[in-house]
Amino acid sequence: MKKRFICFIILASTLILTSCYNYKDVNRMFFLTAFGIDVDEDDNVVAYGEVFVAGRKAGELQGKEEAVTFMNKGKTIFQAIRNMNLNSRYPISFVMNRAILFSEKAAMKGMDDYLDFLLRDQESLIRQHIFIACCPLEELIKIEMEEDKFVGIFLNLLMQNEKALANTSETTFGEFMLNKSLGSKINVINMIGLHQNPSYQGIDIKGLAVIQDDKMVGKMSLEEGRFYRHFQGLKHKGTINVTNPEKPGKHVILESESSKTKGKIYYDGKTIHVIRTVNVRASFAGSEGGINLQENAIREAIEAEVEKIVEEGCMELFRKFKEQGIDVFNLKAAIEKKYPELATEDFLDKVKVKVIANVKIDGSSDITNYY
Amino acid sequence: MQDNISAVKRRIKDPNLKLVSTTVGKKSKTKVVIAYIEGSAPDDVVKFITKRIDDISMDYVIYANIIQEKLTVTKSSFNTLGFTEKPDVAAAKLGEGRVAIFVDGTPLCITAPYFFIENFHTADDYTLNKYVSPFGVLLRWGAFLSSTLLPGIYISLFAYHFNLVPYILLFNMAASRSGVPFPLIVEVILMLIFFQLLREAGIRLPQPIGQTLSIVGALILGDAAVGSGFASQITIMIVALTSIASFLVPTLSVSIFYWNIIIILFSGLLGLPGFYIAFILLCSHLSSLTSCGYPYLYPLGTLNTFKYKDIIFRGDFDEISHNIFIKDDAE
Repeated sequence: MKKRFICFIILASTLILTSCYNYKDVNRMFFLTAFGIDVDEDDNVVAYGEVFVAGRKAGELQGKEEAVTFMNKGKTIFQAIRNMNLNSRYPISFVMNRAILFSEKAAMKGMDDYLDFLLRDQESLIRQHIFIACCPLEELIKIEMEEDKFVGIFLNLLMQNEKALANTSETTFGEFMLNKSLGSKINVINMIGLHQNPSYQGIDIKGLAVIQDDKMVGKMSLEEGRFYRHFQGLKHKGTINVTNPEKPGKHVILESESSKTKGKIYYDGKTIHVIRTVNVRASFAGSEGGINLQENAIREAIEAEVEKIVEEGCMELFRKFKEQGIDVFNLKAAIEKKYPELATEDFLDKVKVKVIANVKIDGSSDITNYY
Repeated sequence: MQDNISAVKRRIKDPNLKLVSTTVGKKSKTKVVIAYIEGSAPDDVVKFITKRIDDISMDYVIYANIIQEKLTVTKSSFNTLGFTEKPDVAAAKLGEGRVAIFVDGTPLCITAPYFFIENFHTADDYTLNKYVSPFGVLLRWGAFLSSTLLPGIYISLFAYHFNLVPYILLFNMAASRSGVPFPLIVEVILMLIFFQLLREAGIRLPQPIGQTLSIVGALILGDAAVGSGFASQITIMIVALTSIASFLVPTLSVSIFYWNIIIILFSGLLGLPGFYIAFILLCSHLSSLTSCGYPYLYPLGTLNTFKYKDIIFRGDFDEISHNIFIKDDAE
C-alpha cells in the first residue's frame, strides 16, 4: 500500500512540476526568435528580444501568432535578459532563438562580455546565426516586414538561401566561438541593415564585418566577400561578370557552380609562402550582345579573365587588411599547425600569399548559340 | 463444439490428429476437447495444457476465458493464448504444431502457444500474394509502434525538449494550444479517455444507434472540444491517430491504451528519459511473458535455430508450412 501511495504521489507530481528545466507547457512560454545586444551611453547592456506570442480570442479555433519586442537594460547581459522578463507574462525561452544581433557599437566595444553567457546558458543554442546590425538595432528588430513576421526566422531562412550566401557568410554562433579561439581569432560575419526603399520594408545583407578577438575591426563589401569565400574554400554559387570578348562594352555572365580551394604552406627560411589554388567550375549563364561559344579562343579568354579577377581580388583583399595588421584569412591558424614557432605576433610580415585560380566553363543550360 | 471440431477434421485428415476429451467444472460438467497432431505438437505443451485443465477445480466453467486464465502464467493485458473462430486458422495452427482447445458452448477455439508476432498476422496474409501481404504486416507493426509510442513522444517533445521540434511545428503548437486551460499531459489523457468512452459506447450500443454516436463523438472530439478551448487541434490529431492506429491490431488495442497511459505518465514526469524508461519497461514486460512455457516474443532470439520465415516478409509456402517447433536440419 505504501509503495502504491508513493507511486501515486510521484506520478501526480507531474502535474505540478513547473521549475526552470522541468515540465513546461508550450503555450505558457514565449519563444525568442531574435536576440539583440546593444550598449547605451552609460555602458549598460540593452537587450532586445523578438518574441513569438500566440494569443487566442473567444470563438477562434486557435491562437494567432504575433511578433512582440521586449527590451530592457542591465549592468550585465544576464541582468538585461532577466529584466526583459519583468514585462513579460510568461518566461522568455531561448530554445527557438534563430539570430543573435549585435549593434555596431556593441561589436566595436567588444563582444566578449556577452558571448560567454550565450555559450554557457543551457537554453542558448549554437546553431543560431550571428549578425552585426549596421542600423539602429531597435528599428531593425521592430521592423514589420511583409515577407515574414519574425526577423529571427527571416534571417535564419536567409542563411539557408544558397543564392544569398554567394558573397556573404553563414557563420553560426558555434562556428564563431570556435574561430575565436583559433590563430588570429578572426571571424567574418554578416552585417545587416534596413532595406532603403520607401515602398518596401525589409532587411538586407549590407556587407561583412571582420571581428578580431571579439571586437569589430573592419568591414568588407559584398564583392570582397566573394573573394573571401573563394580564398577560404567556402561554397560559392554566385554570378561572375566579365567583359564580352566579342563585344567590347558588353558583359558575359557566368554562374559559379562550385568552388574548391586547395591550400599549401611552406617556409623557405625567410618567407612563409601561402599558396591557394582556387578551382572554379562555372556555367555560362548569358551574354550581352551574343557570343560564339564554339570558339575555343573565346572560351579561353573568358576563363582567363575570370581567373585574373579571382586572383587579383583575393590578393587585394589580403593586402587591404594586412596594411591594417589584420590577418583576415586567419592564416595564423594554418601556420600554427605546420610551423608553430613561426606563428609570432609579427608573422604577417613574413607571409607571402599567392593565389592560383583555375576556371573551367562547363557549359550552358542552352547549347545553342545566341546571336 | 462438434461442428467446430468436424470443420477442423474436414481440413486435417491426418490419422495423428488427436482429440482428447475431458470434463471440467464440478457442477457444470463442461466438455473440453484438446486437439493436437501427435508427433508434431511438443509433448511438453500437451502435458502442460492437459495438466492445467485437469487442475481446474471450479464449479462452473461457462466461458473459454476460464481455460485461458488457467493457462496463463504471468498476469498481463497481452493475450498469451490465441482465439479464433475460423476453422482454417485453427487447422493451420494445428499443422504448425500447436494445440487447439474447444470448449462446449463457446464458438471460439483457443490455440496455444500464442506468440506476440501473431497479433500482426491475419488469415488474409496467407491468401494474398507473398509480395503484397508484407505491406499489411508492416502497416500493423507501424500502427502498433506509433499508437503505443506517439502520445509519449508528443508529451516529451512538447513539454520538455522544445529544441528538438522544428520551430514551425512548435509555433503552430503554441498557437493551437493557446487558451487551453489544462497542462498537455492532462489534455492528452482526457482525450484518450474520451475516445475509449466512445469506443466502449460503440460496442455496447445496438448498431442503428451506433451511427448517431459516431456523429456526436465526431462533434465532441472535433469541433466542439477545440472551439470550447478544451483541447488543441494537434492533440486531437495525435489522439485520433493513436486510436485509429490501435485498431489495426484489435487484439492489442486495450493493451496499447494501458501502455499509452504508463508511457505518458513517465514522459510527463521525466521527458525523453522517462519515455525511454517506459519503453524499456514495455519491452521487458513483453519479454517476461511466456505462452505454455515458450517465450512470448518467439522467434526473437531464436532466429538462427528455427529459421523462422514468417515475421514480416513471408517465405514461400514450402518454407513456412512446417512445424515451427522443430529445429532446422542444419542446426
